[in-house]
Amino acid sequence: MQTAHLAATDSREYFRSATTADAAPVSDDMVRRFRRTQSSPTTQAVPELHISVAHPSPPPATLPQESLVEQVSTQLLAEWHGQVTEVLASSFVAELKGRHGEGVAGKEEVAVIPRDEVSPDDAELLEPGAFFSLCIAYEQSSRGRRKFTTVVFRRLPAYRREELEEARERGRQIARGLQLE
Amino acid sequence: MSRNNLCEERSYFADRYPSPNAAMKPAQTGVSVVLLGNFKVSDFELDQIRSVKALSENDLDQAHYDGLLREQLVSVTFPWGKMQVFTDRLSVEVGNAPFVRGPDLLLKMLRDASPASTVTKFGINLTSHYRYDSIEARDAFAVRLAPPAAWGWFGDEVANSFKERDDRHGGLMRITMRQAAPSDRPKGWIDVTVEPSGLFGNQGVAITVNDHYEVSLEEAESLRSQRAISEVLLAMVEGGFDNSVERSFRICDAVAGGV
Repeated sequence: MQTAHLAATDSREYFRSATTADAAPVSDDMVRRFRRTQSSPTTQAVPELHISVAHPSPPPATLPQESLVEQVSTQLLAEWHGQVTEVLASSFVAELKGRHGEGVAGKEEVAVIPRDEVSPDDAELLEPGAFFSLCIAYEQSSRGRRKFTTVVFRRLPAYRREELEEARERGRQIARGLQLE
Repeated sequence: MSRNNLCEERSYFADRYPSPNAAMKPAQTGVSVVLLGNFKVSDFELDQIRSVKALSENDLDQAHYDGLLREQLVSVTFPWGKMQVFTDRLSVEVGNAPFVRGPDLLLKMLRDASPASTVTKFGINLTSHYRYDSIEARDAFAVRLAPPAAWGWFGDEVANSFKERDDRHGGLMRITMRQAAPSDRPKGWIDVTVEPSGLFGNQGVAITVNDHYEVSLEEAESLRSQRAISEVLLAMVEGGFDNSVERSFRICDAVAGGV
């Protein structure tokens, strides 16, 4: 019965019945955006996150240019992907592959990185074999420009595709070897 | 304005801002990964994210969760990005590098929390924002991409408005160029779109690359099951993300700088 009821109502009614009492009321705009997003291609609505674009060029006079320059922007200078080879008392050793940046992309090197660079949240992931990403970027704001380093350990799936394929192949071999009575 | 005058206008821009070889670097870049397919939305709630450790405890503590439409839409915003799940679409947006956190999150959720979900096609999108020295420099860039002279008398009027300020100043709003059937995938395209960026007032340009992947009809028939197709596509995400992002960076810089 409930399924029939839900099928008979539009998304907005379903939204109202499915959310808690203190949830924000759904607007026509939200429903439109929901439907539009559902039918859109793989182009992501990036503007929602980063920018408030989509204004005819240029912005109106009522929007002072100075107020827009106040925003913080981050410029990626270089990025390496690394794998931990050895964990020491106050640092760790890693093999790095340059992914992005002038003089960096495509180059391989070994680096000793202070453990202080690892956030407490990622500390449990620091072990030999672990993968991480190391970025150097500029942050530009009204207060000036600062360069900073980010080390982020990757949270990878428990099983990778190759491992699943190997497991399947092993399974097939075992199945072929089974003697059915 | 006559054609000659328009040519003079273009020459004015070209002389003042010749810079087709200037190295333009983005002031801000964001990346998103969009998977289309069939997704079990309830597998992507906070408890599931926590149980498979797809996000750190700190990220989860700061996460904002919206179960906007039960079983139909989940939206989770965390310090470095946002994940949205619909029954037919799963996406993650990453505001700052390292961008590989995006596909890592999707792959971890799909492999460890939602093995029943399947993917039918996907796109890797990168948006870079460039800041030009002035509105004239941005106009010169736009004229290079889409000369008003190619738009007949209408283009003449638009070019005339370049002397105006504010909302009387017209120009290029949005333009997209497609590379069809790139050789590194069975089926897909690379779309590059240029439009104004709101980040830097009237000096900003946003360039977005939509790197889209599908399996071909022949491959889909040979793979037979939706699960097998999904695995092939996820392997493309896993193995191709870094190269896609790096290529998109280069595309954006090339379009912005004209090299």
